Amino acid sequence: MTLLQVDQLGKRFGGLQAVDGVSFSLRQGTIKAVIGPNGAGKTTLFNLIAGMLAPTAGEIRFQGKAIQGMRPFRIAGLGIARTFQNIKMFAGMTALENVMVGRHVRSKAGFLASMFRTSGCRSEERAIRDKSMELLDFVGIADCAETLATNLAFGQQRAVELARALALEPTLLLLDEPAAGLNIYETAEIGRLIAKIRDLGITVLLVEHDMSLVMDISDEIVVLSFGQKIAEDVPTVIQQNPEVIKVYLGE
Amino acid sequence: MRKNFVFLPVLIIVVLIQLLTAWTGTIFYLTQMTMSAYYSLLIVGLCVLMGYAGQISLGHAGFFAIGGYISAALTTRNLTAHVEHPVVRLLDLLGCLQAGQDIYGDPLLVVTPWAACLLAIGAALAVSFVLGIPVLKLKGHYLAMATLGFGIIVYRLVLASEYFGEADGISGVPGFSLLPGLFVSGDISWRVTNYYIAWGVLLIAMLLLRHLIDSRVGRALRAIHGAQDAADAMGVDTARFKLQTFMVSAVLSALAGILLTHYNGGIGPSEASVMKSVRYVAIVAVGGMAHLWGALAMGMILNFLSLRGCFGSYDDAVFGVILIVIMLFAPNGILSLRLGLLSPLSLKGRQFFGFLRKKQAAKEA
Repeated sequence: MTLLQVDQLGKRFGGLQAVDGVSFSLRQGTIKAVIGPNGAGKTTLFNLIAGMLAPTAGEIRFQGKAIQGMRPFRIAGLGIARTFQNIKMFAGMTALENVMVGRHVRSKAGFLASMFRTSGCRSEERAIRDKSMELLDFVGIADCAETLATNLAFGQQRAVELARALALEPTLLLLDEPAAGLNIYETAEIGRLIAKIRDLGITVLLVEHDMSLVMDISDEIVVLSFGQKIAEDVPTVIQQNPEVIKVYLGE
Repeated sequence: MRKNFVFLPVLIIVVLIQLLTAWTGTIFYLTQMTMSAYYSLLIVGLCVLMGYAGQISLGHAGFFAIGGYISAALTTRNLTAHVEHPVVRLLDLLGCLQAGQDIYGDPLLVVTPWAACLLAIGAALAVSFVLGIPVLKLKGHYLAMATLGFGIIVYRLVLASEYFGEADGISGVPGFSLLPGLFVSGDISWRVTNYYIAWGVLLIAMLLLRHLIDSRVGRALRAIHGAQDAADAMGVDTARFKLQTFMVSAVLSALAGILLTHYNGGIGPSEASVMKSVRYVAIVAVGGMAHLWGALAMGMILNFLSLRGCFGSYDDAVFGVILIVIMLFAPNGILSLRLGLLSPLSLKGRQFFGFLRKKQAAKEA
């Protein structure tokens, strides 16, 4: 079943066509990677899907519903979670609190209920805390729960960000260069984690530079160059694609 | 929550201060303590807006004035001549009017303090809603300038309007009977009661704000402050949460204005002045931005000293200096200075003094 359908998507910044008529679809329960050299438009494509940017052309459909141009918080509300290339921890909050923010759209206590700490609000708060601890455990850093997130090691912050995105109980998880800045052991670890997430039934779309990771875990790969899609196939075929090799290695 | 254990020591200090003034015959201090508590009510609200939601406001004296002036005008302006007006008749039907006699023995018809209070809070809510929607889209110093503009408008309006008493302000505001036995009034016989009323209101507000900060909403606010686009990506409707926080702080400011006006028996345009707004921001900064108890303590101490006249005619200048010094040397507030470093009892202090002794010994050797 198609979860996400990107159709003739375009984004122009003044004279620069950053994304140019890109189309692809994402089947539920699979991992798809978007690769391409620097400046190919990967991050722009990502930000279009996550709602950080509005496209100048084309359509994005999630579960059959057009979502292009929607505000990011609404897209998150539909069940699309994301991580950031340059990790964005909530400063001044512990790892656990960071993950608890991820439960936002799955809980509902408002200003008045919170101020007067109603019983519904208290039990919801307990549920948020339990679920968040569970997720920190899932990504393997439960023992860092009470540490300020910004004081954690880089790899641990990545894990917190992943747990925070999972706390949203997403149908679709967008990962923006999950291996950036990680060493080979940490990269392998994050690869195992992403496969584990897919096994939970969560569909994953990732942008990545690290070829070993992409080839290992992706079910399908989309290759971008200068804003256009030049190939889309399974990893073994992409590896043999002459155009892809040309783009990456030159002629 | 363990954080709530702070309430007990604070309550004990509040009672001890009252007993101390009673024993030493300095009960007159309670008047300034009461007034400081009301100003602190505004300050803790501003602290949540600035420190937790990360939105600055240089217009909160405006909300204080909206509360104080509306409540003062409604409870003093004689409606006898307008008895047939549909609005006045509606108020009468709702039981919001009280009749009496003015000082010349003529009939006096005014709005009751409770109704005036609710109308003033309603006005603050409405104004903060209408102002907040466009203004909170701004960031940093743009937001500061826009709220500054709002503060100036309120100040000039009360100064120019005959209804609000122009430069004289409004005097002769009656007391406000919150509940039987709880009478907000500057009358000396009610002084101790009012001291406890002010602290009661302030501590209830603190409890509600602490709850707010330790909740889903508080986490969302801190997330907005920490990394707005990540908060957005987690599904936090940042515009809505900022607006609601702005409204909560506006209501607390208006409530402070209402109660202090009834306590003082009047209000003047200086309460709406921009210097007041700057002072509130300075106090929140000294208290440590995201530190409710710090803001409360500084609100009490600095307002008390100011009201006692300790800063003389340099009053506003003192707050200007405080703002500069804090921004330069302790942008995270005075509590972040780790004064414990100076104490020989603390671990850090021991390390520090040990280091000094070693240095001294090395020099002598």
